[in-house]
Amino acid sequence: MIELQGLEKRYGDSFAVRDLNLVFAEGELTALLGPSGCGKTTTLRMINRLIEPTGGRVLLRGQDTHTLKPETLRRGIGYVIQQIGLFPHLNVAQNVATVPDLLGRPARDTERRVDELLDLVGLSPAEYRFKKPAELSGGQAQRVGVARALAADPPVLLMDEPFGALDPLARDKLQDAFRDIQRRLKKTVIMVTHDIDEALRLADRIALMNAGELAQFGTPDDLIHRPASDFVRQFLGEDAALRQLAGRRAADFAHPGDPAGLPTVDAQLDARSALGIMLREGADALAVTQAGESIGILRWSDLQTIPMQPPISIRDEVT
Amino acid sequence: MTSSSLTAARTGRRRWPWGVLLWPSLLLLCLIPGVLPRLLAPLNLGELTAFDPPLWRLTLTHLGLVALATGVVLGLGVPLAVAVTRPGRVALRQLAETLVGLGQTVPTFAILALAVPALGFGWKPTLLGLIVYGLVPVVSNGIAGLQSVDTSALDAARGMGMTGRQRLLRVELPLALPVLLAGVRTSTVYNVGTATVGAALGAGGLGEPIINGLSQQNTALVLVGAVLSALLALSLDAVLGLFAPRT
Amino acid sequence: MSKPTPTGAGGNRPSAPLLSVTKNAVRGDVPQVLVLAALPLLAGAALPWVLLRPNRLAPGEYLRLPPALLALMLVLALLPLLAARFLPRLTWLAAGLAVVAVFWVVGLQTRCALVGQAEFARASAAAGVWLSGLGALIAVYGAGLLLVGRQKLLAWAWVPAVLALVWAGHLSGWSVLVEARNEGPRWVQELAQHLRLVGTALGLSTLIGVPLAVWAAGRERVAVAVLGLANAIQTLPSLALLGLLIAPLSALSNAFPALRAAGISGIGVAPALTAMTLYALLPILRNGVVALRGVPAGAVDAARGMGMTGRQIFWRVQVPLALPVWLTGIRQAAVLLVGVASVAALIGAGGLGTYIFKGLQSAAADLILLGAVPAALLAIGVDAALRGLEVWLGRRFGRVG
Repeated sequence: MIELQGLEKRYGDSFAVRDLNLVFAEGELTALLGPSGCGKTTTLRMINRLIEPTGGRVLLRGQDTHTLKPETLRRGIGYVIQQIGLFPHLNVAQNVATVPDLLGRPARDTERRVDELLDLVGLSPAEYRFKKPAELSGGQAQRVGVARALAADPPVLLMDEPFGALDPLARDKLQDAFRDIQRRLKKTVIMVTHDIDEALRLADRIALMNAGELAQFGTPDDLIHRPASDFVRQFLGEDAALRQLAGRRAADFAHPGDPAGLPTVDAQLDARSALGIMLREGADALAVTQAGESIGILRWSDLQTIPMQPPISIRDEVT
Repeated sequence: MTSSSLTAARTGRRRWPWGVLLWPSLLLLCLIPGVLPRLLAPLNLGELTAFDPPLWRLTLTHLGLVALATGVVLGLGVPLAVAVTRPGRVALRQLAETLVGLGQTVPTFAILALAVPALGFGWKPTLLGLIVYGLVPVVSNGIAGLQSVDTSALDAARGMGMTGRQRLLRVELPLALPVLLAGVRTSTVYNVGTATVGAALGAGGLGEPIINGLSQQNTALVLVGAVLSALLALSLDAVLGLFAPRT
Repeated sequence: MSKPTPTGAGGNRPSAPLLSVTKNAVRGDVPQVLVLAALPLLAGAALPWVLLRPNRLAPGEYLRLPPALLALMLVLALLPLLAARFLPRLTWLAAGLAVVAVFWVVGLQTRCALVGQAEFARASAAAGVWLSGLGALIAVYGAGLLLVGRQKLLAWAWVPAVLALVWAGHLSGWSVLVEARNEGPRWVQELAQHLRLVGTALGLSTLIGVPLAVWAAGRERVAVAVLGLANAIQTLPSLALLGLLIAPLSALSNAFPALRAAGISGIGVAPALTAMTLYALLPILRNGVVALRGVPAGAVDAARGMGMTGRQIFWRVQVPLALPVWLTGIRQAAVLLVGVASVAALIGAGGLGTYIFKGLQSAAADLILLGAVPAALLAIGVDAALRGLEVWLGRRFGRVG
């Protein structure tokens, strides 16, 4: 879908990004992870040409993005940033409608589209359509930010630390909400983050960068279990496996089995806490319950395999 | 901003602001022939003969000069503020800010007088002075307003594929508008005062009775001009306050 | 395969805080200022430079630059731009040369024009001079932006050079200086009178305004009333205000002839000083109240908690914290006063305004210049001096402007 070939950005004598080769697969969420100053944001901004590369090229569906007008390119790519950047003088609906307007789509279609999108991000259109950005909480504002990026139905979404400025509670909720949205829409998402938990939680693949170069590219499992270098191991930390569990629900690991006599945990509990309960209770397995009903059991060995597709998706309350 | 005007903004948005009419109506009252001389007579400050040209004419001249200047100032000042706030023009912006600072410092009377050798006597040098002096708050507020636009909103606008022109018209100018309008208000109100000085250059207007009164030692005449120009300034301030908050 | 072309500072917009703007990126746009400076310089070179009149009031003829000087001015117009391109470290020199050249050419041309003319003939500067001077000063400003730290002083190198030209008598043919020579001591007197008016009014209004502000700041209602009144009065035309302030004085002297005998009347220095003092009181009072009320309550509370007396809190906490804003008010007052003082000539108070009014009455541009230019420079100088004082005091009290 998107291919970076020998991409390079140089400021004077120093390289912000150097000889970067990456392929972002269609419908996948790739996290650009790394310490601050590693060039991940520069890389992201070179994809929609907010920063012009000094070398190499970016291919979008095989087409060199340099052959397009920057504005045309950007209108076809959703863009979400940490500072959210809603237009304070426009209401929520007008903000969301920005790109369809720029593309000259009929107002009636856009209006319908705005309502759909507000629904999608968990904001009731009737309540939020005419609010001004100043009346929204941080979490609500970024939901609008996501809706605005999706408004013209772009196949690609670039996100620059989208949940970085939110408080932990709002961040968790929005991450869950976004994971559901992504599962439904299957966009090609590239998300810059320095938050390892966020990357492990949301990403199909992680491109870990260091000092302008690619340190490792692979699935979260690859990075945790087969780190390519000491840097990767150190960056993820010794507790990377535990962090990965923290991003999953106990229910994601549950298998059919006999719950009799086992300590119970709620399906919504995260898997790391479930592990903690096992250690506390000295049990090899737990009974996973939802609304009082047992939905399966969770064994110690289950936690060593990461499920690719969590079976249960839960709609969230608006933060 | 005082607390009273804050509460007024909060509660009185729908209500028609009757207070705005206070100064204009006082001004109109004073323009009725004979009213001002009769009011000033008990003070025994000097003789007031019939005004030629009549006071309403002086007021209209004054207002016309100020309005014309404000029009030109808008036409020049806004594009100027936009031009120097484009990226990569920091040096030009610094130059504009320095010139604006000088404009605030140099005495109005000096600016007006310096225009006389170039343009001769009458309303022309005064208009030039009003334009130069009126540009100061409009350009400085325009720059301040455009500079204060949230960079993340601009980044988002660029990331969504807005062209420079679209960013300016859809994001920057609407967001800078309140500050810009406040500058226009300041500019207009100050220019009422500057235009009184213009009478010394033969521009006519409400400065004429003041200048004549001062040089003839007729304080009543001074008061006539002073009261009327003060009322005109307060009226314009009140009316423009409907569109622009005070900075 | 198309390679993305490297883009320079122009194409790549550093909009987000993600990109730190380096010093080089900022200074890269100085040439824009120099282009802006070159335009009036080029236009000015082509326009007439000297207006020659048989006497100071008669109409005259406009003289243009001879080809050699025209070529010189055209070269000097482009020199700063070329310097910035090839020898950025010497841009200040090229720009400074342009300023000095304008004065030098004025001197040369006015003197040439007067050769063989009668004694009363006047050679004054025409549009070309003003336009070129404007352009040269913009070039100097642009060149100054390329200098850092102490080097900035180099941007002022043209000042001593121009003063030397004046001193050496090179500009003696220029009608403004002829006028100045004729006025001589009287002009110095008026300048001194101007300074006296401003200084006295500023001193009086500070003496009255400072205690008044301290008194008002401590009383909620008074403070609000003072600020409201100050805001309203600010909208009033200064000339109207001057008139309004003179009225009571004049009424007094009308009612009590004894006062008139004592020198209090509607005309002369006394009413001008009274009006100016009251006029300057406003910014001093307003900024004083704002400054004192702006002292963080936490600081005062902490001082009280440490056992300071009311007097100690005032001198050790409130005054140092309020001083910068207050000084700004005094500076504004001083700048306003320089302007008002030039209008005060109208009621016989003297000062530089005398020349402006004289010039306006007799349509003598040189007299207007003799009054208006020094008044403008005085205002700029007073502003700069008091700004310097603010910075110095701010540093002494350990705070940044």
